[in-house]
Amino acid sequence: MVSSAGIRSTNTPEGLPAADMVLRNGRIYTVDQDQPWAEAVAIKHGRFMAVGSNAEIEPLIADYTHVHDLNGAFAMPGLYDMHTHPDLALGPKYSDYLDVGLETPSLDQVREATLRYATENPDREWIFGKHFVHYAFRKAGLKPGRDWLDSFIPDRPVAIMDRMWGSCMANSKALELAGVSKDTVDPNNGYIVRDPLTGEPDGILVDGAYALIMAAMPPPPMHALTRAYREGARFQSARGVVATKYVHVCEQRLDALRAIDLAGELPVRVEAAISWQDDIFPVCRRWELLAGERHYYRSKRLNANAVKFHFDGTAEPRTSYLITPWPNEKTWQGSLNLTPEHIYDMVAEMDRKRILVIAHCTGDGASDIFLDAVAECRRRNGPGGMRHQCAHSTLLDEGNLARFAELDVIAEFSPVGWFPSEFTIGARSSFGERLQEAYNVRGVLDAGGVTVMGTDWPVSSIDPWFGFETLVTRENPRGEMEGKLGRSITPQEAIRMLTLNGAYAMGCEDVSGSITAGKTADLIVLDRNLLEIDAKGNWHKSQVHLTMVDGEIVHDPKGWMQGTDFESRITSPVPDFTPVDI
Amino acid sequence: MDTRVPVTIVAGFLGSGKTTLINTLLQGDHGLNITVLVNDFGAVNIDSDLILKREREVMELSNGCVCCSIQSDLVAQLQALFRSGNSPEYLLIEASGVSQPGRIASVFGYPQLRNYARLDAVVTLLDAENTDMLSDNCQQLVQAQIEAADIAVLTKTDLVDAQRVGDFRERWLFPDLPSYEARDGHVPLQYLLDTGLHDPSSAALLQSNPAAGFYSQSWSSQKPFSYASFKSALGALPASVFRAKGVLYCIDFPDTRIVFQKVGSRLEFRHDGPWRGTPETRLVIIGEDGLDQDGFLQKQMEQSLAARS
Repeated sequence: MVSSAGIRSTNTPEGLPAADMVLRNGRIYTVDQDQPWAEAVAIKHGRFMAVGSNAEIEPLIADYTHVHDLNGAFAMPGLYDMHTHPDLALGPKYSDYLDVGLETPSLDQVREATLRYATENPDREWIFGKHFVHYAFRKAGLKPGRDWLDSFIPDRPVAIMDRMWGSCMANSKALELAGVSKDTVDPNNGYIVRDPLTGEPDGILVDGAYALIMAAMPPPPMHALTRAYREGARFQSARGVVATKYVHVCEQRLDALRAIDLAGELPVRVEAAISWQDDIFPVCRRWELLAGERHYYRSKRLNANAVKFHFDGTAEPRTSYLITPWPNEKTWQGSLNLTPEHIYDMVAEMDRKRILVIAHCTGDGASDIFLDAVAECRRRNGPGGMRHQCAHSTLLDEGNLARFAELDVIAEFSPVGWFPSEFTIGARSSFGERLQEAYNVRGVLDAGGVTVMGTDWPVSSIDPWFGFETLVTRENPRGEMEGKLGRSITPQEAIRMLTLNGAYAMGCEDVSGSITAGKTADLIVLDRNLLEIDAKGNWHKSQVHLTMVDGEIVHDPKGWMQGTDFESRITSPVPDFTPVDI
Repeated sequence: MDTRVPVTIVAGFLGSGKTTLINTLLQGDHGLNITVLVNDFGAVNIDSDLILKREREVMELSNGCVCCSIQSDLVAQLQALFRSGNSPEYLLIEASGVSQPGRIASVFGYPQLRNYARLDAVVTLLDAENTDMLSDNCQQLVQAQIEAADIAVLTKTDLVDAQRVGDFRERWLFPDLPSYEARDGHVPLQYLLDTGLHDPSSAALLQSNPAAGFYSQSWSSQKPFSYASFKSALGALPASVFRAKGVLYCIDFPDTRIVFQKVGSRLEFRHDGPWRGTPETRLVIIGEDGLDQDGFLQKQMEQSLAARS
């Protein structure tokens, strides 16, 4: 023991300093094969200094050691959400853009709201927001477009989205600043509405064409991005997440993450993946970031050493790229967004720079080409390269299952469509009989590969527990639909997938991901013992009573650490991102 | 000559009668070899609230990118269809009851497709009996379906009285949107699909059928007018004119024939090469109600053009 004056107790073993904190009397599942269960852990300097029985830990308690009795509660390593996008989900909500605030505004109401916003925000160069309704214009016998906007606000750039986000109405100033003229070439994924004979833009930009306008606008304000990340990470942390990948970032997003990190408000470790193309938003200075400026953001909690790209589409519109034609199609295999050669060179180049590639591959053809690209990258760069990540892995070819292990590629599965539901059966129905083989976690594990899970918010809930439960059950967690889709993995395998495997995917499995002496003290305490209850209908309701990252308490709803040196700095309320109905 | 494949999109909320109409169209005596494409959502039996929620969520959250992927899929599928060497003669797309036909229509403006296909019309079916009872979300969707329409077809009008049909038109439709009533499940098919594929300047291809209450008129003039004047004058044709086509002699483009097409409320203008012979504006229209008056078209055009010249 050590007195408050710091004088060492004679009971403390020679040469072994006492713990800062001890959690004892728990049912601690460690995910460490050498010692799967423990009663107590001792933590010092943010790491587990010892893991074992109450008796084994006892000698590490000094009088300055904070001891918390878990009273038999279940604890385990914190979770790893390896693919999510809180900024996409939340950023636009906080951006203070013009919001007309009516489902079906009249033309007068759009005009008034625009003018009011212009008056109230004299410093904002752009007036951007939503929404107008084409129907209302036609009902009034008018055409939306530059002429209408110019009639009341000609001197400041204005761009207003339609209610369905299918088009954007821009005034002449906005078109001018965006450089949109009769000579502008239409993008591949949309078009500029023009006079058919003169080619002059009329101020309506459809689908991909409104990116031309957005590219000219200032990026989302910093406060919107910082709030999005702060709240997203806060929710994740409250649900037991200790490490995450934020997939698709740009310079502004990295700046936002860095600001939170520097303020000590980042309760999770983040690996941020820079967008390879401007398909979600424009990425300024991409090449500088990838060339090395990414290191500017590096800290214990943050890195930007990854890149994300979209290789194929998605299941719902049948754009997943398949090896064979889609069910009920003669030739349609889905769409491939980039050439294989592009992928090969990019993967090899990124790998050489020690940048991890996260490849969106929903079809078996997409992952096939990605695995080929990694094989080529290993040939070019030699062994010891990055653990590139096959994102979503919705359908995998049987012949490729073993290649994940052979090539050291992470198979990431996202939970949308995991379990029988109206959404799954509907949106994924185009898979036909192949729906049963979707999300073949079992197959990759059996072939020796490493699997991880990503929530992919906002595509599905940011709460990892729904996907976590269904890894084990492959059934609907809420019991809304009977049946089972695909093959299960065991509770132990699922826990490993969300913990140690996640650490492996972040390249830190030697120092994190399990409750092992010497590793970072990442741990969560739950209200139930996952390994003693039926996962079905139960796991997703798990309450997290404590989240610890690097020995720091980041979520303490019970106030266990209140008044101690370990009291959490993060006291903001947990936002309510409870799952939407999917 | 416009060799692009004409496309008609048939839209309408769940239960409005799309499948019945399409089956009737396929069996109709029009001599067209029609290929039908069912929009992807159509195969998916999800309840509409769910889709709206998801669409709204996805679009709000990702600034439309996911929806774009749906669009690009349609583009890719259509591209594959048009390049397959077995390109359809006429393409009919059945939009699902919960989709926005405007989004489908918009892909025909994409650069990859506009050289292959020409959107002829969006035909939106409207259930006169049940539309007013739909939830707010569903009514918004119906608005989007009407917004995209070039021709509206009112169904189930035999189940409600004439007053209600009138109110329905007043409340939902646009003044310039031509609308038919499907009587006993039958609609005037020949006016829903392009009837003159090959020579837009040929009046003979627009056949009128006075017995059915449809009338045709033609007008020609060797005097050129400005493009803007033509646009205004043709845009001012009443909604009872639901088909029109012709060539225009424009002051702004004196050396080229400007081909004009109107299907429902959709107006299309395009350059069509040099004049063969003397430049001359020639127009043919077809419609009902009032078109049987002598000289209707001549009066209409000359008054409109004079007012705008």
